[in-house]
Amino acid sequence: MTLKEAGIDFKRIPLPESVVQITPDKYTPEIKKGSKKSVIHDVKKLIIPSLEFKKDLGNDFKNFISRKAETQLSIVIDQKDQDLIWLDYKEHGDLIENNHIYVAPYSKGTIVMDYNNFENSVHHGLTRIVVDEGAELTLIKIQNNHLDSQFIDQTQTEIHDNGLLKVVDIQLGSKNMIINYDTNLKGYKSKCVYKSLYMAADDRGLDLSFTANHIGKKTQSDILGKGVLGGEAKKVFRGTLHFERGAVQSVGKEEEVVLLLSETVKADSIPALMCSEDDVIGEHGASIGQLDENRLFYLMSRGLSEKEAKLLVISSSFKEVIEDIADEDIKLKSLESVDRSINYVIA
Amino acid sequence: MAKKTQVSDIDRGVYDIINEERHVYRSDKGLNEEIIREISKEKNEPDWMLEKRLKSLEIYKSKPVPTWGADLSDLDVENIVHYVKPDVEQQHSWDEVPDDIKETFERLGIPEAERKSLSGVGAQYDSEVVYHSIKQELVDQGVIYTDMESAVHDYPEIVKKYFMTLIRPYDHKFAALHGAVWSGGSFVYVPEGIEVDFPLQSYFRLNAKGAGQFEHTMIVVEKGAKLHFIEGCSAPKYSVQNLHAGAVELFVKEGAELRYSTIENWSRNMYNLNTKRAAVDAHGKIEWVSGSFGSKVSMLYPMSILRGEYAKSEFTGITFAAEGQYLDTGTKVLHAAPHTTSIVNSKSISKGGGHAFYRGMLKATKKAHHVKSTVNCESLILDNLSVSDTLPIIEVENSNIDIGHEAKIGRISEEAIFYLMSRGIPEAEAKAMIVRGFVEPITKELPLEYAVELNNLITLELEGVVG
Amino acid sequence: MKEIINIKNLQASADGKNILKGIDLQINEGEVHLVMGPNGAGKSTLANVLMGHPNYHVDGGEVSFFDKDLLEMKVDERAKAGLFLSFQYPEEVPGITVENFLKTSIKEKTGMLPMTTRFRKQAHQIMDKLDMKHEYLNRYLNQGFSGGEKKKNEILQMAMLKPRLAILDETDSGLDIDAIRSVYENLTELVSENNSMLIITHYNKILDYIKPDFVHVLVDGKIVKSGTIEIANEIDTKGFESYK
Repeated sequence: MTLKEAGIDFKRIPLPESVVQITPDKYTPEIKKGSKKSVIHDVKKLIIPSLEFKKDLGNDFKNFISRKAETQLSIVIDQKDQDLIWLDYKEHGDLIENNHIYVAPYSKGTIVMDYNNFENSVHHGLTRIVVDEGAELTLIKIQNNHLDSQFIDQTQTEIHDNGLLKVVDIQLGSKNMIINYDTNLKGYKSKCVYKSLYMAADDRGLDLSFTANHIGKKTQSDILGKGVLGGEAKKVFRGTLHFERGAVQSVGKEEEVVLLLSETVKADSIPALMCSEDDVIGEHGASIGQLDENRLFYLMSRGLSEKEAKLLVISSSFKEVIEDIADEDIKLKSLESVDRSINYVIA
Repeated sequence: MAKKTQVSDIDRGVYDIINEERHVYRSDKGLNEEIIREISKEKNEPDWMLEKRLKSLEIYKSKPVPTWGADLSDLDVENIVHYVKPDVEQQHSWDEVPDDIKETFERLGIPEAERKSLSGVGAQYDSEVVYHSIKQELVDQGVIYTDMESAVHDYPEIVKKYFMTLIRPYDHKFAALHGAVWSGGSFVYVPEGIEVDFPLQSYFRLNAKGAGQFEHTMIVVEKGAKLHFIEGCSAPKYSVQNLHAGAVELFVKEGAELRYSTIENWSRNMYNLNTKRAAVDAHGKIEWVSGSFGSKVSMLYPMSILRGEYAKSEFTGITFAAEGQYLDTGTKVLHAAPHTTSIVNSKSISKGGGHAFYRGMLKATKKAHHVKSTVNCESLILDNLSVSDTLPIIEVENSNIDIGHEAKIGRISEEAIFYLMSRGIPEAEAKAMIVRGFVEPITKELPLEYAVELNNLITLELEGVVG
Repeated sequence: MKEIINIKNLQASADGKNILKGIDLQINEGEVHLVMGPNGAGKSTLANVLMGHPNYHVDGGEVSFFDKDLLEMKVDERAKAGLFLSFQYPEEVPGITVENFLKTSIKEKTGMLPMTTRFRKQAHQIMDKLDMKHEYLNRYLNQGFSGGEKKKNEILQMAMLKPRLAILDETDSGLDIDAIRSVYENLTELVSENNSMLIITHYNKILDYIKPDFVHVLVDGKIVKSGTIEIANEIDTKGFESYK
């Protein structure tokens, strides 16, 4: 099913019948690592974000998810150094998930959501997160689903005083993706760091949106998007920094680097800076272009073939981001997936 | 102005969120075919121009008001009719001119004679003397510099060829309105190879009929020719009728160079919806230098269409939004040919609750390979009542390009203020100096007297004299 | 001899941390005082607090400058009263040329904008002494200047503004040997009978060019010893250990 057929986009239009008719699998991802105890399957006492989000996909989407979700995870992180939770999504049909994550005050944990389904499927997901006072959450999402699949995923996070959210989002598979991260930096010194990596070739399409909304004083945000596009791939990357009045002494940074490998790609960037407070610093930068010829030449002059040189340049750029991942298994898996994808995209 | 379809395709919700409500639009039953015919008749226009007007009117009536961008609900559309009718007395009395306008004239040292002309009062400023001396030089070189109405009569072949071809009535509602009721404006034609070595200023051609609300400026710079044209001035322009929907169409032919400088300072009741577009052919170059001040609402997006190989566009601009103002400005560059380059250097200042919105579009089409573009936006917010937004849209359809975009928002650095004060400069002056330094890249592109005026205007704005 | 500045029990903090814990210092006309101390002692803080930097908070004490309450004065008033600070890290201010900046400062001080030819002649003379190219007058204030050039620019300003008390904050850091010579050789000329200097450094090279009248050792926010040049020589060989 193509994006157009699904009819899901940021315009708040009603969902088409074909989507409404989806019957999702009753599916729970395998817990490859981590205690089952912290991944409760029924939704009891939920702590959900209290403020509205700026880039919401709309009420239709939300209602659709709440009505139809057959995958509902409620994860609680309440220890100072909680074990990593690795959720493995594979071998399932259409999937609709409605998840909640709560990170209790002063606790710290990492959650990995690993999508590697080899069945052609449609995924709709909504994850709502609250990072409480002094807490820290690292969320790693790797998507490497069947190449005809569709992946629509919205993550909304509210961060309280001194809380931190770190996101590494790696999009490698599926035919069409709509990815939306929206964070409200509600408290004093709340902080969020997004790192987005993506790769696409053929005629795949990506719509990526990362938003940081500075509400509290001395809040910080850092958005980094790195992508490679080949074939006839299309993408829109929207990095948005909002500074509300009162977000005094906040700092927001956003950067996007895009590599275009073929002449038929379509790459759109919308780095937006919306500011209603003077005592802040907001910066963004985007650089879009080809591989550095000088760098390629240098590598080739040391004996690498053009293809090998390209591979090296791209993978080293992505590796910089993946290096930060603490868990060795995840790191390895990510590096392998990325390498495989690069080969495919460069070809 | 941005094409609406394009914006809504890409945007998907950004605008929805910022401007939630749809704005109510008052009807303009007053504007009808008869009035258009009257206008055309009064100007003694040939049939082909009348037809263009009527066609535009049709389109105007069929298009809705844009629902993104500025709030146009206060726009007095019904009264537009009142002021375009040819027999209506445009002039009003000096007493009716608001005090802050008068004070600005005083502070900027505008000569008496000009004040009345700028505020739409009384007789046309008699700049004929100055104008005539320039005129001879131009005539000798074969340069045509006249008003738009005369051009329709005297140079129909040229006008017909270019009129409303860059800014088409279909583009948006106010382009259509303009096409129907346009009046006045400058026409400049520079023949092949001629380099006009002094800037031409539209200031000399201020007509009495209103302060030029619907003027149409058309400039054609032929192969290898060169021209610097300056539009506007820092003195505020006042008019009772509050819509300015002018159009500027610039044609830069092969190897030609055109620098188009503007300082706009409309009075605080005005809606400034000017549309400016330049088409640049192979090896040609357009330079926009722009200072946007004043008006209550501005929507201004000078656009460069680089349609020939190696065509170039440079934009340097400053937008100053003070209390009660919403200035939605930006630039658009369309790279539609290979080896084209563009540079955008846009700065904005928001103060006292003003709202500056930079809206930029940079697009490279499939055919445009070896494109290089650098965009640099810097915004200064002077207090926490003001707002500054930056929304650039970059669309690339060819991989062989090199595009860099940077934007920064912040306040005047306290360190910088301290440093200047430590050398004995009082706080207010220190801030003004830093702001002038911030604006320097624009002022240095203007001829001296404009640069001085611009600096004075900034000083005034910072003090809050105007509005 | 007339007293220029009298600092009594000055206490100051930044970011909630106490840095100056009670400084006492008196400087008279024509005197050169040297303040030395290990990193983090509060030397730069002292300089910045005297100039009135907004990031620092005065917690106690008093400072009189020519019998006036310095701490009550606004930053620019202190400058006009004859105080000058050569910054350790001079600020870059784009869009304002060095010439324009200097002329404006002179105008503020004397009430009159200096005439260009006269101004340039004077500036060029000083720049020659500092081994600084004349074109720097047209460059934007400190933008793209190397560390050494920034420091020279500070000294140029000082020479043009002729302050009564010049505070030099680590002027030698970041300068190569030649630059140090150009800068310090000229400093001596600038201290006349009536003008004074407070030189902050943690480094002894300066003693080759200037003989201070007094040397103070600042450790952990307080002046732990004051004396003459012997102290400086002692620190040169033994370091600050004995004072901590």
